[in-house]
Amino acid sequence: MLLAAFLLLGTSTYAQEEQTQERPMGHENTNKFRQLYNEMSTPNEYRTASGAPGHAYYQNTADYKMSINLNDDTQIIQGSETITYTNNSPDNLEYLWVQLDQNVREKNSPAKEKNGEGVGAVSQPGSFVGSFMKSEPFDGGFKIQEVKANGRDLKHTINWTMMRIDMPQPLKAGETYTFSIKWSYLIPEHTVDRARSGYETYADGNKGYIIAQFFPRMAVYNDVEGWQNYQFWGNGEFALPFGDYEVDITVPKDHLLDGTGEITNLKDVYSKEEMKRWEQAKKSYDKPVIIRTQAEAETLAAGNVKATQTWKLKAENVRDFAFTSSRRYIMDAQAVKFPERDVMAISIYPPEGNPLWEEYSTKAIVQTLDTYSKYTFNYPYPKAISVHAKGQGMEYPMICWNYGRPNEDGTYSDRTKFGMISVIIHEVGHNYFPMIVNSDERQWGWMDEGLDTFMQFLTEQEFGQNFPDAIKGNDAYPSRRGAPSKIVGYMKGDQQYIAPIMSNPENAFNLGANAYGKPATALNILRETVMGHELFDHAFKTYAQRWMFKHPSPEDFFRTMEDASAVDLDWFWRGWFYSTEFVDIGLKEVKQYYVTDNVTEEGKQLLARYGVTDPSTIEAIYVVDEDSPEFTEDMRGRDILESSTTLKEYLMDNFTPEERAKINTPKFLYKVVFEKPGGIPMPIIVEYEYADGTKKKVTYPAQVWRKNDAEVSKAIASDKEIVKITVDPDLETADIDTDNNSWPKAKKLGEFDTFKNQNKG
Amino acid sequence: MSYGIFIENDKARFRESVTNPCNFTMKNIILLLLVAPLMMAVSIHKYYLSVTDLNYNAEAQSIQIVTRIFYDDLEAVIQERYDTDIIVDATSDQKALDNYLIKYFQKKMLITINGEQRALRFVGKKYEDDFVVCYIEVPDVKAIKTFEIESTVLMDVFPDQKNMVHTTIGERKKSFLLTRANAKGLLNFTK
Repeated sequence: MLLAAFLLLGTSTYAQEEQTQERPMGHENTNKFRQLYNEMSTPNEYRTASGAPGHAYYQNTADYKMSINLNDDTQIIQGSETITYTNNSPDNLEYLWVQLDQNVREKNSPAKEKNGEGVGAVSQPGSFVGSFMKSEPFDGGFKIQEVKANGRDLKHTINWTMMRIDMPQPLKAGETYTFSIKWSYLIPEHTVDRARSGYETYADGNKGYIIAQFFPRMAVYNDVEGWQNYQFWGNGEFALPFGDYEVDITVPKDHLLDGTGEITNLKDVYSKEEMKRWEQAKKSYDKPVIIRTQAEAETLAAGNVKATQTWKLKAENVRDFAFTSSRRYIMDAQAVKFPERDVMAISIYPPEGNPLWEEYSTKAIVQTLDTYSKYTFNYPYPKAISVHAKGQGMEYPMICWNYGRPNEDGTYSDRTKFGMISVIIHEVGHNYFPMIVNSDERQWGWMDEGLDTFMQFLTEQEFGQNFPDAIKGNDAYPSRRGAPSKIVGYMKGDQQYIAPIMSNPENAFNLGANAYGKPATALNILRETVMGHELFDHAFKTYAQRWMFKHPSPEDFFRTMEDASAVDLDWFWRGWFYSTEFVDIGLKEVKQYYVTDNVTEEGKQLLARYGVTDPSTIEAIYVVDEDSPEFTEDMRGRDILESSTTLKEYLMDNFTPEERAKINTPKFLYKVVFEKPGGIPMPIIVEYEYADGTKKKVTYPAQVWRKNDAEVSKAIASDKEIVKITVDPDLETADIDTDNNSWPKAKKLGEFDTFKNQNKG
Repeated sequence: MSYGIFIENDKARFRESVTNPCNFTMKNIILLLLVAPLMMAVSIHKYYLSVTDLNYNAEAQSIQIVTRIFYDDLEAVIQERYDTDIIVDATSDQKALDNYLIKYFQKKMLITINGEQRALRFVGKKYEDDFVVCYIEVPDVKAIKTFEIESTVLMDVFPDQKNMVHTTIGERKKSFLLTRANAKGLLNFTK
């Protein structure tokens, strides 16, 4: 008992000693400007530290020969394909993985159970029935009928949206393997179940098919992921190898069809008149030529031909294949000139899309090809098609589905018009990211969506400049995303519901802001505020050209942007892409100083620390601020040289009158203290306003925060009195709280009062 | 886990599918809600979420509310409840629209101060990107001892709707994520 008490006493004494020492613990490198060595993978011979493909970079290819039959009565697709897979990797592959993305829609799909749910305290009867009294689900998913090689059945195992093919022998490095699959599936009605492909039933009973993910597709095997066999849960899109496609598609004879690649039997499937118009369109560089008119489409729609015909398409170096087909389609096309080739910009739409679609769709395609090519590389495919499909916005090589439907009487709001132009720019733009710069969407949604949304912003703005009539009533094209102020709401939101950009799309909370808006804005800020156009544009183009027709990883992008510009951006990637930090920089304090020869108490103490006990032995200049005990009112407005004989004599002793005439003697001296409640270090953009009404904008580099992440001060020597200081005056940085951005502290009206004042009377 | 606490539960979908009123039979909504997450969308995503900033302005003695709601969600609700023909944009009859909005908010955004439920004053609205921004006020609020907000805005049509409410009352800042299962936020200033 005694011993225990003694021990207790002993420990408590020890603890007290520990406390009184108050020596802070050491720490590892937490500097926000440290390099991203821990976050990024180690460079290697496949992917270099410069962000370029390495000398041993490889990618495997998958070529497809397919025969597809679309049954317009049953909405069943029956298909067969022969896949030729080439293993360019240095590894022997024991098995192959094939993707069965349609299986996300199978009856017992785990994707239906991927989210948490509960029982609401109150339910509407309908919603209760929907949640707890379910009817027979849609019978979606691939029905695999056979998998064969050399006439023999191949062993295969289906794990939901993935199918493993077990080859008789491993596929050696450099070798090619050919096998075939037969399958069928029930096409979903995309207007009901929100699928990325499917059919819409028009009021007259005819259907418009927008068909994709319709065939078993090879997965990507590479140095980063091995086999990319992360299942398709619905949010993370696709990762696909490049290859050549030959696809025969059989549909009703009165359908108009188009898809990825060139139609090789045009003469069989176009009428003579359509053929003539197509030839005209190939030479029409300034406006579209209508290939099938609305009247013709409406006539065909009134019939219902049962006979079929086969369209033959051929595409080279694409990562996917999609097509559209309907007897209700109108089509127009125009040529776009590039140094290497002419590209056909094609719009396909049912009468429901008019008058909006014939007016704007092809214009938007042409603008997209122009702007994106300028910032990346010339469009390398022979065509770019925009198809009108209700509620859609989905991209495939050379073809995409887009929304934007006028009211039944043909009128449409600005919102429908701009929504339509924007989605066309976005989806056609996806040809560059990820169809050609082929990033892994399954893991990194932002790599294509973020870059594409950034390019979309630049394209929309150019569209607005080129077609002022189209944006009548606006100063510039009203882009939804891109401007820094538009991401503030997201970035200041509840941290519990924000994920870093560097998250898998399945795990992000608000994918639209996470993978589209925020990365697009970050790149815009990088271009406008951090790097400048010249350095950014060169680096961005370098990335696009290095990785066109290849598979980049996030690091390849981050590294190239630095490598090609000599701008260290690890701090920027860390803050904007790897964390959920936000920007908030403000003014903490502004102090004015006055110069004097008289020894101040503060000066005396400072000198004493350096061993100077008698200040009169050294020549020194002292400063006081208005709170100093030495401050006197007569110091105000006095010239610096008048206030300090020491300074005046120093100048006279060390400089000739000629030299002195060139020396700028400031009249005002300030210390400006900036604070940074936000986690992201950013350049401090400051506007100084002077008593004479003039203004000066200064940018301190982000690196000003590298030794103190919370607070930094700047000394300002000025000829003129500063009357106002504003941080980020043009809202360039997505600063989430501008209440602390000005001095003297502006009594700012809140959003509510501002609105109320504007709308008075 | 209570129903829909996580934003990832939010059903993404396209805007256009809801602007057409005939799309909004109850059956379709159920289908949409059930099936949407697996097939979801594609390029333009969105979520059933509104964001409201609520501040007490002591000087003006008023509670000032700025609420941002996706225009198409609001349109679906107004069409289903009041007027199948009305379009929520600048081209339609603003007076009629405002009347519906006033009626709707009075019912769905309940604010109780010091135990007394207070009337809302609809100050106005504006259109901003994909949102309708509504300005609402509770006038004559002299002191706040207890504060309660119950927001079931849009939950009548979208059971998964979440309403984020950021409140600033005096020095106290508090955010609530209101859902159907938990639609009330409470603050007590007497403790």
